[in-house]
Amino acid sequence: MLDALLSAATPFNLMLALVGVVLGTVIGALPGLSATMAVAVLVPFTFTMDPASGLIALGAVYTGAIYGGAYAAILVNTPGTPAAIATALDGFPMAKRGDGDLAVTISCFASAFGGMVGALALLVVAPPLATIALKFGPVEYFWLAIFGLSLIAVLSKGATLKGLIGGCLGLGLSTIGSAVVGGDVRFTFGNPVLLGGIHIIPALIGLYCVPVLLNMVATDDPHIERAATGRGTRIAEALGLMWRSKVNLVRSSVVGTVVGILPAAGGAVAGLVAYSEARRTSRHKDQFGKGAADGVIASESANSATVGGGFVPTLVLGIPGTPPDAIILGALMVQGIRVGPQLFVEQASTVYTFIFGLLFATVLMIPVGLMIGRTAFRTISSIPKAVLAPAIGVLIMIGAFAVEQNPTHVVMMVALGAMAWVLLKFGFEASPIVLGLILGPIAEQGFVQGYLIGNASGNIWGEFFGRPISIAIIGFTLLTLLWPLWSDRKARATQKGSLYE
Amino acid sequence: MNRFLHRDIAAAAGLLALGGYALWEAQSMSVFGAIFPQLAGAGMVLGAILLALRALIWSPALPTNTGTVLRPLLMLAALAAWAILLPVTGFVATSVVGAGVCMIIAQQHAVPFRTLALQGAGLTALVLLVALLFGRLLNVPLP
Repeated sequence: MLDALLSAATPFNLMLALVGVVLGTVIGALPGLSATMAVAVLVPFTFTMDPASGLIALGAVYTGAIYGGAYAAILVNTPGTPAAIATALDGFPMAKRGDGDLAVTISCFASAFGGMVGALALLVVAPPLATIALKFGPVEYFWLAIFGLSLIAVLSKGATLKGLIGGCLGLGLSTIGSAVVGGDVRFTFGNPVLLGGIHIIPALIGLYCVPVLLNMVATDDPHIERAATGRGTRIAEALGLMWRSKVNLVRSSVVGTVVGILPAAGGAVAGLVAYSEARRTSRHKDQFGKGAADGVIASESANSATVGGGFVPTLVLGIPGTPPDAIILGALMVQGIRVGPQLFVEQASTVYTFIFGLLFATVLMIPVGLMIGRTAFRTISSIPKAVLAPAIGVLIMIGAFAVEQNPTHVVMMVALGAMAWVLLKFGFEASPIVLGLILGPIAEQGFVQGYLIGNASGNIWGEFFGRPISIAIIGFTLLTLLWPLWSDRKARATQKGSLYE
Repeated sequence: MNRFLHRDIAAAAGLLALGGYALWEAQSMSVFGAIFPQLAGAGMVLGAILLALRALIWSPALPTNTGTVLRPLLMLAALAAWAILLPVTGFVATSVVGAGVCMIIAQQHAVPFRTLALQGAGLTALVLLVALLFGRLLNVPLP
């Protein structure tokens, strides 16, 4: 292992990690450019490198891109990548009140911590962790999606009914196109363009960014409060907040690692689950959604931990946990590396060099993230709205188009944005709609497949309610839904008791 | 009955129509294909009924009204035109014009021509930079 550590620390590999993190952060910060695209674009450059160096470069790009999504989420309320959805919930309110620099700094440190936990999990316990992924069947994915949907109650900010309706709207939007099981063509109005359904990236840009853009021009108020003079990156304050939220930080990183191991779950689900847990266990849950640093810490540490977590099934089982993992798996195959349980023995040098390289890239993310974050905050908070609004317009147009080079996605993005803006006027927030849209297909596929399996084995109820992991997830879901009611009741009882005294 | 109440009833009517349509369409789908559209449709119908009942029975607080609606509507029209014309007139031309129109809509006060020209030049540079980054560096085939 010492050889691998030294090999990862060569100037060339460190330079690759640094360049990868910088490129990944910049690409991830642009709405519409996902981590998948960042990794895919750079794969051909790694073919001429030795396998470990190529992997370090791709891992660094992936790490940077997942973190980069936080900038747009915090400063423009548009998650640069789906993984940063939960970051926008508290990051943007922080920026609105003038703490954008603090939110960016917190996101940097939390991402670095989460990334390190994920990479360490990959280093120490990859093979046993990979077996957990194999125990996840369709029913477990169904319940995981339901757990994510239970977050609507958390995100609704005092308007639970409207939140639940928004979730149903999102669920309805997710059913547009071909059915995930069975191939039914649904709600396409005979238009072949809608056969593929609503792509998540244009939908994210439209639902989150267009209403911000429209509201931006409605008033003369600044988009976000400007940084106070002399305040730099607020490192000490951010570290202090993170120390006070250390349990949340560790728990969210572990959640991110475990969710990252599950194929197809990804950073968005990890961020949302960690956010939900952070809110449930917080003493200041009323602050969530209004600019709570704990929300940013939970989301960012969890989504960055999915990078290392996602490599566990990729390297040990050959099952990519996320789309970027699938691309990296392809790159590994081109390099002639056979993944599988024996990889950590037969190609130990390459694998451990890569894991140490990933750790170095995560550490390098701190100075890179702080520098880019500081510049991004100062730039966005000082640009006049008359320039910022059209500049965001250019970025959302290219972002929606670039995903699949499809002009229809751009129109879809604007249409969804208009819908979100109108709904906002009626008091419906975008987040529950996004949750329904993202988790709908996972829930539907899991439910139908689970039902078919249960039907074939003659025990449908047992299939859904009799498996240990399912029971655990159902328990967490109930806890998420009932905890706020229980804690409110307890608080009222305590208040009543103190009044009598 | 205040303005907010009317808005909730209007939203409920829209949701009822949307949910009803989803339930109607789901009838022609296969058993498994219809489950989630029915779930979403039923949720919307039930939510619409509850929303309307809540609006009729008691009156929630009035929402705060921020700013004008005209400017956002103009901005939305500009974005829609930008999106529709993108494949027709190409990314660079549409984006330069689109960004320029959005810049004019977003101006809250009268500004000197020199400022407008500088801002326009900056946005044109941004469009060209984005076109270069995506078209040349990332090989995205721009329209």
